[in-house]
Amino acid sequence: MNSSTNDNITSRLQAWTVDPDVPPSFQREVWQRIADRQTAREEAFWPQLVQWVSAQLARPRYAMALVAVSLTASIGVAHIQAQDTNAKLGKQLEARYATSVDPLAMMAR
Amino acid sequence: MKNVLLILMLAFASALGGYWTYYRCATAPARAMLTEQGGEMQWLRHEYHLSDAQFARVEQVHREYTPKCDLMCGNIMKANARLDQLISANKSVTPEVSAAMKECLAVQNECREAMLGHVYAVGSEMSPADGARYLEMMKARIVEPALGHSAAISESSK
Repeated sequence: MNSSTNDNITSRLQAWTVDPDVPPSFQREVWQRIADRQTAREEAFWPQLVQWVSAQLARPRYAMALVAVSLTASIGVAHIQAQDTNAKLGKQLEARYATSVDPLAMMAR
Repeated sequence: MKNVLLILMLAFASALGGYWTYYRCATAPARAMLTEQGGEMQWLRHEYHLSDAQFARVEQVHREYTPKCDLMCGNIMKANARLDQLISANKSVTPEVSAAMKECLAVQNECREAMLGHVYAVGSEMSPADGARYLEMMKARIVEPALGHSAAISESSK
């Protein structure tokens, strides 16, 4: 490419102006479209999740796993609560025993 | 979708059933001890790991002590009632009031002594470690009889 061609291109590029015909509401519409798509995506999340879970639970293996996990978790919670209850009942029994051998405590009863 | 709902309901029901069954079974012994007559002795047996022979001896010691304890309770009540009456009847600390106060303290002291004797007797039937723990639990009631003793040492409260 020679020097005169380069000069020609440079002068054309310098003379080139862009005058786009953008409607006044262009920017607002773009943001509106972005917001619409985001909402649509969020709204689609839950139905998709439900659909996915339904599909998984249709398999006996996963259905059994869900039942087993629920059962294990509930027994775990029951174990913790039973320990707490036993400690409280133990305290009451301890006080009852002590009262049975303590005449002063018997008086206060 | 119907099957999925059925599975979810099954999981929920099994969780509920598991919780209820485990909780009831795990707390049944303590609840039974609390409701039955003499449950506190069963608690003592369980808490301090008493064998059948140890428990039989502890029960024997307890049976022998109970009438003495009731008698002491009666003596305390009488002494307190007398002091109550004298305090109301007098306007100053008369020798009679002073004597009644001393009598109250003497009766209480007698009770504490008897109780300590009983605690030693019961503790001696236990293993050394359990005996020490038992003494620790009862000690607070003898040293500070007026307190609530919620901080008494117990294995179940650890």
